[in-house]
Amino acid sequence: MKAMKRISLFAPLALLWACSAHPDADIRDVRPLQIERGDKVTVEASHPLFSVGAQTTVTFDRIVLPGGMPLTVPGRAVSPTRVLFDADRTLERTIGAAGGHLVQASTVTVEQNPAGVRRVYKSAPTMPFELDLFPGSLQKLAQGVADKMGGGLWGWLGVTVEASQGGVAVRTVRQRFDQAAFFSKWDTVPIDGKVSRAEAHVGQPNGLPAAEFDALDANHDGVIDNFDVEHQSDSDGPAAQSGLRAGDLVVSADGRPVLGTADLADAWKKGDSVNIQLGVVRGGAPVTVSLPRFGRPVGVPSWLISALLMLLAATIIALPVPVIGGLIVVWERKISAYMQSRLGPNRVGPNGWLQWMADGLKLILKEDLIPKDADPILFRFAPYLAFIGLFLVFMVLPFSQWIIVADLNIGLLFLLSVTSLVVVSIIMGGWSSNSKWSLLGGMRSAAQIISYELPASVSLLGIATLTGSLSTEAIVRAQGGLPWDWYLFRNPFTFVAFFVYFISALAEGNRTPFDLPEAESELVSGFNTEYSGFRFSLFPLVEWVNLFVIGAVAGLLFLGGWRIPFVSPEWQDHSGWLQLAGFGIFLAKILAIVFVIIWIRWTLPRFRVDQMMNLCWKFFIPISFACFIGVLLCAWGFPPLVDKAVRAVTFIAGGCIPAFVFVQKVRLNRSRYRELQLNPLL
Amino acid sequence: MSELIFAYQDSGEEMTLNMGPQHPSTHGVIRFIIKTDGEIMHEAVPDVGYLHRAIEGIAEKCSYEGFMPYTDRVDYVCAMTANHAWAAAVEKLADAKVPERGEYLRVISDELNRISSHTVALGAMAMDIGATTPFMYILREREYVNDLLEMLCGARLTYNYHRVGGVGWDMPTGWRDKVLSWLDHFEPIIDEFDRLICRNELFIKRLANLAAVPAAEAISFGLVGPNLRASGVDFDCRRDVPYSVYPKLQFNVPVGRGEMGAVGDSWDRYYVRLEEWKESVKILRQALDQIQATEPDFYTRPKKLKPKGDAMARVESARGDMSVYVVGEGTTNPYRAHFRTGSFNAMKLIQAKSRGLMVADLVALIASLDIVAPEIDR
Repeated sequence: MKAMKRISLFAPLALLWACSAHPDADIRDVRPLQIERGDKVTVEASHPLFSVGAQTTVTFDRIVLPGGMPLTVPGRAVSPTRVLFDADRTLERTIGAAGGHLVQASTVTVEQNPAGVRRVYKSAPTMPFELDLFPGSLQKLAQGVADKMGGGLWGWLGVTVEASQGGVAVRTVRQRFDQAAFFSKWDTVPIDGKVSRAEAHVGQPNGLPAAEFDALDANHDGVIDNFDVEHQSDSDGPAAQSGLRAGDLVVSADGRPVLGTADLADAWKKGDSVNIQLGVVRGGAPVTVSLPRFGRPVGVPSWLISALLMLLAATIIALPVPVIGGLIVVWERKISAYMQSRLGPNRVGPNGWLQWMADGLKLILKEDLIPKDADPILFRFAPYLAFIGLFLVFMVLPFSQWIIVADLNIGLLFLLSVTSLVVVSIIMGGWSSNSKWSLLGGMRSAAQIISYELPASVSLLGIATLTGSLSTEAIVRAQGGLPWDWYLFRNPFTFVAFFVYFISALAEGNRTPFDLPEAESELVSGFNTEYSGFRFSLFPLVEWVNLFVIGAVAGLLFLGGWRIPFVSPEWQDHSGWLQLAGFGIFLAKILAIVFVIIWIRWTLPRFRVDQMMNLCWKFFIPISFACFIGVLLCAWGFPPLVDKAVRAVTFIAGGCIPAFVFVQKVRLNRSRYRELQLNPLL
Repeated sequence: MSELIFAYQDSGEEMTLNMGPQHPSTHGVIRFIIKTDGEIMHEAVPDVGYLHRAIEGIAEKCSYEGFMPYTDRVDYVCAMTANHAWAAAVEKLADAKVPERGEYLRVISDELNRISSHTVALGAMAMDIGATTPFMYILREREYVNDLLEMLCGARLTYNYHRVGGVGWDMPTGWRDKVLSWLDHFEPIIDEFDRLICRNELFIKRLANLAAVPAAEAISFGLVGPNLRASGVDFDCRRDVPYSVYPKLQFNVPVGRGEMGAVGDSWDRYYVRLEEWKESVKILRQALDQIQATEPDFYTRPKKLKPKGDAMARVESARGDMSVYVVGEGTTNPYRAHFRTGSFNAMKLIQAKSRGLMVADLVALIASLDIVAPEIDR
């Protein structure tokens, strides 16, 4: 019995040992899993296996994607334990062609062919990989700018470098230009002081090497002239002094492999020895070059450049936000006027479109009153909190592939959490005003928004599950440009989830029929009753910008965002005009939803508090969870034909038929009142 | 009122809210003191008296005819019926005769004003529930009524049109056709308004079964007019206490049927008014038809107006039975005049019905009773 027990205790361990010793378990890790174009992905082995320099391919098996093809990428072994491959455009296209950006593989295989012998290394079959390829983004741009600048490193060294296959290629090296020595190579010094390619005997045994000619020909017009010569340096850079030459390929620095310019620049930051030993491949042969570590000027760090670029993008996106809010206010007033047979604002600016400026200016000029018994700090702070909460949302809204401040991989979560700041501000404002009416408004709002967050979040969760990512860009990429490729019509559950989200968003945004926190006929103005002047102006601003945000979120998650019909995201990524077109399409979707919200506001009466709560807890939360489960079942995957059929049925039953009925109804009403004389007294 | 405020013991569970006198949905200057536990009201006590202008006292200082402009201010939303009530009471007291054309003009102006008063009632009610658009839609119609009444008597709100012994002016040329063409326009608008808001799911949810007043309770509270009829009591002064030329006209009296909930709920009170529009249109068409056959004389001014004794006249105003009681002592001024108005009684009902309602319901209740502040206090 004891022996049996011992065996049973050790059996799993033995099994584990057996597995780890299995030749299939050679591949240990793939890093990084979330990659962007230009990244280098490392496949690591648990012990030395690979032969450097041999032809190598990396294969991801069983890709969980429509099309289920294995993905094979050419790689190269840089060390016995490391194989690299580039996340380049080709890879992006390959993954994109399979219909997405996410590669889910159960095994990774590295195949090598050294000396004619085929050798295959596999990862353990239980180890899942998820390779997530992000499109080019602002961070990438910042990285590029920082790399180019190298923190001032390259300028000091006197080199220009660029990432190349297997390392960093040295393009040019700044050298002292000795004019007399230079021209003494030729029998006669050219009278005009110009040396052409032929005169320099480029490419001939006694002539100037091509790289050196190019380096001297600073303006690349094929002629070395005085103009070029004057711009040559009068002293060698540290690189030239150390013997680095144009055309060298730097493969390692202080023993670490150099894969990109950033790696090379890092060599100056790490370590404290006087010299840095560079492993260089010069004409196929390895050479060691020793470069000085100290003495370079202090440069701009890349994180600062990145932060500045983000700030710039944030400014570009945030500056128009008050304008958006203002224009939506005017638009709403115009729509409501049209619906109520009035004229609406038509005095300030062209056709009244600058009315928001006049209103805003008036509010700013008003006295900033704070009630005597109000909590001085909270009362002052509340409007700004609402403002912050809403503006942060714009960080993750992709207006196109390029126009996004930060494509966070937790984008959706970020979006849901920062919008909650608005609730805090409303409660804060309501409570700190020390007014009973404000308090009632604040409490209503708290109960309402917290309740409706649940169905809204759960319906969005389904979309995140379908995509397999919380990144807003990824969600848009996973949809298509045509309506039946949108998540709205993906299956019946997402269709219902859209409406659950939309109505809950109305409730979260305090819009009719859920405008209880500021019900003007009941609470006069609700939580913002005691506010005046500029502080007051922030609340309506937040409310109307929120309309835009609701439209943007619904547009991103359900209506295909910036996708253009018949254009793949990769194609779109390469063209500025297509970016603009995508932005236009997205804006049109947002405005369509904003119009519907405004339309609802001027049509429906208001809920009562208990009815609103019933609607949420008794109907929306069960429905949203049911939808979520349904979406999960659908995410299991349909055969392609069934998937098409489900989309078609959802599109026809959910989109076409209601639209047809609506148009018929409008026609009927129009015909009914066609004979009606609108002004009988004329 | 004072004891209510000062003797009130704070139990820690109740909050005292002061609603009004300046509040957008109290329909004028009314104040309510609300005791609430969160959203649920324990009691809403109306504080009447903010709009008291001593109109009845002024009556004692004026001549019978000179008091007519003041009656406009009793109920400025439906001023024509107050004119009518005062004129009818004084005529009864002085035993004066009114030419038939004058009576027809009174009925026509009354009904036009009833329509315009109900537009305010229904539009404002929809707005208090949160729907702003119906208010705008229906107030456009009120503008047309105001235009028509302006053509008739030169004023848009306080008409001063009726006289003791008739009306001030005959209708201008072409006015009758204008009213008829407006009626053609207005009838489909009633249906449109019905479809626009009355059958709205949210609207019904808010109003059905809200503060239902059974018939017996309505009678015991002294409710009148549409509020009384909504509770299922089939009583209308125009038919049951006949005056003027109403006996010559055919019309129905709509009563609440409890279509969406209990009989006498807020939705019924709402819908009865909408149906009264249709009846008013019917009355107007008949009156405009019959007025053509009358003599041109529309005003017989009494020679000597120093009546003695007392008289009471009942007129169906837009807010129900408006009664005027006048006592004369043989002088040019009345000794005493009293107006009995519908809104005053409805105010007491609010206190009784408010227990257990929500704050939002109070607004709907006030609106459904169609309270006009000056009519409460006079």
